[in-house]
Amino acid sequence: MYTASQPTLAAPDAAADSAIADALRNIATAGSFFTGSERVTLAHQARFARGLEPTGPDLAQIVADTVRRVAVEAMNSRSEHVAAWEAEGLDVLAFVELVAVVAQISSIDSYRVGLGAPLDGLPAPVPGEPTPANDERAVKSNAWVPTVGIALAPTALNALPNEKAAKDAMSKEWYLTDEFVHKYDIDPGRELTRAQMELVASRTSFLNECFF
Amino acid sequence: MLRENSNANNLPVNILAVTNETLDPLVPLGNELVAFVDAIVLLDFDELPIARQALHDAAGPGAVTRAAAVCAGFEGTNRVVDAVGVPVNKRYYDIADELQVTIPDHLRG
Repeated sequence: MYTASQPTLAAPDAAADSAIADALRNIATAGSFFTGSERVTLAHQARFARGLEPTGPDLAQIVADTVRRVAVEAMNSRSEHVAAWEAEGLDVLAFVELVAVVAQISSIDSYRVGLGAPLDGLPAPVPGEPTPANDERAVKSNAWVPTVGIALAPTALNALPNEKAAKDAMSKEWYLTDEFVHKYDIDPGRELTRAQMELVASRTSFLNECFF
Repeated sequence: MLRENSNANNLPVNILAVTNETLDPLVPLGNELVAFVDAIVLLDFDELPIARQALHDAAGPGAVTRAAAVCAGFEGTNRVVDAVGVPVNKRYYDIADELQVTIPDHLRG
């Protein structure tokens, strides 16, 4: 089980901390398909699957299995998993929402682990019912879920604009905004050079068996 | 993007080090960064304090924070693109060959 280091060897980053606070509030707030309470439960299950929580929540089997797969072995995802989700009568965009929540909490936890800092407490759910906020232009094209335009890393969540915006807000603080990702002549002004940041990114993707 | 950055800025890089940690990436602090990333992604809580300390000693607390941040961002992005089946862009096929990794059929567009 993970325990924080004392003292931390990392520099404070107030902007990242603020973005994380926003992201946690977003996780705790009703989305298009899940209530805030359900979204926090998804985050709890993701932590449990990664061995960062000693016990997991009670969830429907397909939901628990999907969260575990995304959290610990996303590289083994297949179109059949999305088909099985839909065969249970679940909306494919609910699958997208689940992926967004699991990815977000996994990112936040990896950041804290890297810093040697305590994990953030799971947020208290915000009361409220889900309200569909999907982009109606989204259709299945070259991925297993609907996207607006072809599916690329920046567009993978864009059928649910709120989820994409939440992820982009974190990425902007941690790495680069989408508009600068492929502009290699611009110094990002970070504590690491662009080459060092790309080495970190490449090694992370390699270990996750991800080809992005 | 490591290769593209290297080409754009005429910087040396050994991208084979991405998949083989015994090689020198030719990027300053490369070995320290790779060790730190490995410990985070693999949740190796024995190696993590050692790798964090080494990076801190070599480059300071800001480098630790930024490396953790970039790694964390890709921890999320990797999960998203794999879970929803975003195919690998064909322009990366050559680099995959160079790294001797096989793009699985289900991610070939």
